[in-house]
Amino acid sequence: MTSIRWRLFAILLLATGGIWLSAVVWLQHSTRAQIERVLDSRLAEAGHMVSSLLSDQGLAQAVTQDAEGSLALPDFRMFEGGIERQLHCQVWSLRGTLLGQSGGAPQARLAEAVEGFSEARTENGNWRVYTVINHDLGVEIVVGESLNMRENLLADVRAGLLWPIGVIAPLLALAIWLSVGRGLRPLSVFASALAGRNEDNLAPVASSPLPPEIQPMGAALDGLLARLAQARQRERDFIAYAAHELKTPLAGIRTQAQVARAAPDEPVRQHALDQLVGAVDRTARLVGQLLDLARVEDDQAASVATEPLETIAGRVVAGLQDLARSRNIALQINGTASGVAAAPVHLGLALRNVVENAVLAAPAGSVVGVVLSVKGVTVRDCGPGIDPCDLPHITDRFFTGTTSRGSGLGLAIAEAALVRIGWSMTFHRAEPAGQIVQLSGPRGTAGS
Amino acid sequence: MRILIVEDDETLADGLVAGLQLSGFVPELTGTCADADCALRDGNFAAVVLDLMLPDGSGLDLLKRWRHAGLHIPVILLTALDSVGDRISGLDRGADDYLGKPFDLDELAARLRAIARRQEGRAEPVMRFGTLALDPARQMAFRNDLPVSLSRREYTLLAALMERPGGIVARASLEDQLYGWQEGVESNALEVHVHNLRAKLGAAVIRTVRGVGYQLQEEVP
Repeated sequence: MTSIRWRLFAILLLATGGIWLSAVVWLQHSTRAQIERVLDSRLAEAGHMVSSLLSDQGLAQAVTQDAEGSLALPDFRMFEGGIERQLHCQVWSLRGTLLGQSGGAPQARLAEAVEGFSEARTENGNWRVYTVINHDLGVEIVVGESLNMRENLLADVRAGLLWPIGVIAPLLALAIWLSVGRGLRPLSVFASALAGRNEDNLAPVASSPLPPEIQPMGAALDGLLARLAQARQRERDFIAYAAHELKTPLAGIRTQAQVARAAPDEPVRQHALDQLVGAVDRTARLVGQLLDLARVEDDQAASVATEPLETIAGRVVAGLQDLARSRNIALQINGTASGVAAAPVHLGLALRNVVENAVLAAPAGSVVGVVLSVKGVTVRDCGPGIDPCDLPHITDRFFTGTTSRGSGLGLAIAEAALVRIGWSMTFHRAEPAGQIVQLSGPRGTAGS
Repeated sequence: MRILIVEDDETLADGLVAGLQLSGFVPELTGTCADADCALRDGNFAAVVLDLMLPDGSGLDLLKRWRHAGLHIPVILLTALDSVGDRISGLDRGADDYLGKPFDLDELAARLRAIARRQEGRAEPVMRFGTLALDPARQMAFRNDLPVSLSRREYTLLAALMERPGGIVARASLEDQLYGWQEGVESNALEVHVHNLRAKLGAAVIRTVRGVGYQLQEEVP
């Protein structure tokens, strides 16, 4: 894109030039009108003057003879000195004989027998002609003026207007260029201040005073910077938590391994090895969850073809039956959701985490129900339920309630996955005890 | 040496307790800031092993509160965040030492021993009193430079007495050192261990201060 300085420069230059040119055209036009009016009246006056002067001088005789050149006219010179002769005169008899002419006037008839102004083309150029018919004398007086003279006069005026432009235009261009640069200085100061920032500086830009024109931009930029700072803080927190959650079990594994190696008796060693295996399993699950979280945030997976909700839920429930059996819990799925479909990876991850939580929370011997409907899926357990105090943070990453033993990632994954595909998750207490988690599709899911 | 461990991860906490017991310490375990606060205020501990992220708050804030309240107990921080900046901020908030997870159990034990040495104001790793010597690193006792074979309880009892050479150590304090909260104290168990120690090191080494506790005495060669 062209720089603002160049754009302003070009616009200002074109506008100034345009105004100047139209002034020239207008001046030329009005000057031409003025010149023609003045010169035409001079021409007419000259014609009438010649007519009134022709009285004697043997005119009657000349008319009677009707011979060419029989009338001698005085030299028709209105101006003396270096100026070219401008007016010429012919006297014709009404029968069409050239009785006389002024010196230098063309031989050809300048105008047809029409009284008043006309224009004529001859070998000697174009003429402006005025004709007077003197019926008393029986002659026709034709006074002409070369049009070249008028054109020269106008050309002089035009040149007088145009040549200063040639001289002033470069100066004007320079002045415009410099003023535009000066006017844009706050913008370049702003830009260089931004360019000079290092990547960790997310302080607001509007802290220094800005001209009103860039204030909206500064405000928008500040909003962006604030969001960026927040995102960076979240990322930092996430890394801190992830480091803690991953390195702590690793430290446990290492410690238990050292204990097993140094243990003097078998029971101590056995205990340490059992702890070690349990810690490896928990760490593996955590790593899996972190990978799930990364997978959920990958947009490509959300764009793959959808699958029917019944297929997804069936697969999730089948995958968790082993866990449910090991805890002596009946994991049941019922209801129908014809026409409801969703991205399998995302809904599958969300549902798996919610159902897994329900199975882990439910008391042995109880039932965990997964109910499908056109609105979505409902998961219900008879466990202790989520502490109301924990509800606002339940989907925060690494948030573990006061009683939970998990990594604090399960519901965060579920929430992130559902948001990606436009679903939502709500929590309700079941009566008399237990938790209901409702996963709802976007409005109009049914039949889509 | 009684050590307070503040760690909420079950596996790590269990490993720390087992590992520090193997190294001759008497570890006690708490899992939250609140429990740690209570334990520290009424127990007599030689040092604290403190995790940074606890379920009810940050270990750093707890440490700051302790230092603010004038508790000078040595603290080793355990943390997953072990960049230089994190170490500096931890040490500046009053920690005596810093270990990044995962760490070596033996290194933790060595650092605890070093902290104990500094607390007692001695530079030499081996504790000496008269003809007796105790090497905490190897968990060995010597009499006239000859090794004496001691059980874990006997070793702990001797170490507790040698930490205050010549001073009287209260009976309750010795019982605390010998038995953590987890283990019940049998009646006159302390007397049994004192009796065994006297048999191995010489009757005059440990003097009973009636109604108060016990005291190490220099042997007259």
